[in-house]
Amino acid sequence: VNLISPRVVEHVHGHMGWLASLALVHPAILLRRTKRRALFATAAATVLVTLTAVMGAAMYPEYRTAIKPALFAEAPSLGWAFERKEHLATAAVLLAWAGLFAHLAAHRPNGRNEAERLARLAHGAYVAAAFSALLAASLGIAVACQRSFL
Amino acid sequence: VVERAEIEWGRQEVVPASWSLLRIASSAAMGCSVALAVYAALQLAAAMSLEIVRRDPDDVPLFFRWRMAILVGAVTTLVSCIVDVHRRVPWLATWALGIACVVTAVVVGFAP
Repeated sequence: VNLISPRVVEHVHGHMGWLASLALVHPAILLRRTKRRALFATAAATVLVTLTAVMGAAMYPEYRTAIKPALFAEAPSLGWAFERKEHLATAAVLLAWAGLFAHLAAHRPNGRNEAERLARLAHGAYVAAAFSALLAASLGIAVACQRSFL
Repeated sequence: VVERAEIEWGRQEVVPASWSLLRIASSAAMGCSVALAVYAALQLAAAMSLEIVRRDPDDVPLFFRWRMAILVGAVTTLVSCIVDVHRRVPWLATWALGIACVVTAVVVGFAP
């Protein structure tokens, strides 16, 4: 088995996508209390979702040539679903990083209001990131059921 | 007097380090929000056939949007760190995140 074949990378990407989505739910729950510190959970979830996106980016040129035209020909709605998935995945990564930085900043405040504000920002960013990642992972499954690398 | 001097000395030692990390991290959070807003705005413009930034025809659109978002996000981080935006305009990072989420939702819903 060729370990860097698109099919293997696609499967690993799919599984990592779901793991990353669930990992993002963790800080979204933990950070609802503004004084909570969850540096490991936030960093791990952010790194995981970033690695998943890097794998997706590595496969993307192959997807554009091998799958995208056939997918749009067979099921245009799923083709558009994949386009939506790209945007949601990008949002998940950037929101996770925004949340991580805000969480880091929240524990080095100069005043209580500032800490509260930054902690709320981190929580909001992780909730949005988790929602985007879960939606992206679900759309990814739907597309993969229709067509994937041979 | 000694006690007060120690407290003051402690402040001088601790505050600048934590203050600078706060400044960098909050600026980076804002940079990420702006990067997402730029990504979504470029997609929205492309969906409306508006060319805000010239793109090489051979360039993959997704990678082009990522590049532009990272570039603008990095510049935003740098500028907001220099200007110390989080102290001058405390609500701006929250608003930037909110606007980025709204524009992304519009893109996902209506202009994929």
